Amino acid sequence: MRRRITLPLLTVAAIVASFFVAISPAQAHGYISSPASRQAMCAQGRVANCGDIVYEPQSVEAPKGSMQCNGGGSRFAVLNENRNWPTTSVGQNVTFSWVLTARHSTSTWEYFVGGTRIAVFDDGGRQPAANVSHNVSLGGRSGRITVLARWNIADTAMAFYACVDLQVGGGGGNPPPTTQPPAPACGTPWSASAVYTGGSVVSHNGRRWQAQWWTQGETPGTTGEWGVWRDQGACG
Amino acid sequence: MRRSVVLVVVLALASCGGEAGSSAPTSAPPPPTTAAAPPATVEGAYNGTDVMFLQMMLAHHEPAAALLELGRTKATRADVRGLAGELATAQAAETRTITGWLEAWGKPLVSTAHADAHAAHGGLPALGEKEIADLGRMGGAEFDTAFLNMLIGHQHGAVELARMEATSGQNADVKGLAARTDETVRAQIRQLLRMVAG
Repeated sequence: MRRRITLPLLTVAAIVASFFVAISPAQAHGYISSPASRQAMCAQGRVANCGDIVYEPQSVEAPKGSMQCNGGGSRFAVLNENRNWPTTSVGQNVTFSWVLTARHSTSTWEYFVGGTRIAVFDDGGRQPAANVSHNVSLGGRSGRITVLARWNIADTAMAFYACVDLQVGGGGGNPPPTTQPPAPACGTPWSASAVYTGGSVVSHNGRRWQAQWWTQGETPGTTGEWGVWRDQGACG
Repeated sequence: MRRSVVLVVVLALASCGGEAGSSAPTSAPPPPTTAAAPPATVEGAYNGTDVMFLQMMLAHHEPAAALLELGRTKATRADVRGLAGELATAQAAETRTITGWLEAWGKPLVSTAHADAHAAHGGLPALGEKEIADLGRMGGAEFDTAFLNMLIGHQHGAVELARMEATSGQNADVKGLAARTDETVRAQIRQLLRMVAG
């Protein structure tokens, strides 16, 4: 919920207070990242002309009980539009996972298709874990469908809304991850006589190393987990 | 050297309980600068929002260091590990810059007002000690998804900070940092969202 505070005096304390009042309602937010919800598609840049949602996909907050993708009201109405939203190919069992920018005591997580609730998870007022995932069965549905999810907050009148467009077909699960990029080139080899300052990157024995502070004559790989040379991974 | 040791102690005290990450004494001359490097000190007038923004960015980077270290070492996917490493490097450099600016102003690295305001946020932070520990116990693809979601959530917070500074800050250098943070972090979020959605 947003409250506006007018500042009679520009004291540091007043600035601090307004800073945190303005930012605190924006903290306890979230949305579905996988399969990508409409706000995630916008934030990814896969859909153009989404408006302000790209700055805060986590803020689709509205009073409980709406069946609209933006939760009702005028904010982020783009999410309700019948655009050609990209779909994610899935099977009958879908794992929905959420980005939470802060956690908040939760009553239920609900999933709907076409007005029918297909899944509900009751957290009974508890704080969600840092990572929230739900396995939901699509109940035999196929083809192009839109799932509406609602994260119902326990101690306010509000909920967070996320619509997810799916293409339900043959095979199971979410699409496979993208192929891995090749290892980076090794770059400058480490020299025992050279002086390196914090941030410097060198290669040694097929791996890249970054100096955490000034060093000379210390072999990468011998300085331990918290020593001066931090392993940046394989190269070549 | 003594001042750097004090800095390390202050940063460690400011930690949200995660591992010390990459904080270390830097007694060396500053690394070679590139054209895009921020200035070592800030010129011009500044207001309370500028100070608060810089302090909050430090507080934001502290738990991120522990998260990124987990991602860098434990993620199943090589691209996730690589990105975690790059973000850790970038945030460590930014921490040094911001620390230098606050020092030059004679401002504390941790705001006492900030500590109280944490309680007033109305929601628990997503990256506490327990959350990092829970993540550390995961493995495989579940770890990758959880790590990416936690990192994305954390980065949304950085965007909010940057946009607040853009609105209410005064100093041109600090607002410049905020503008770069806004663009850079949103680009990171785009990449992270693509990774987690598969």
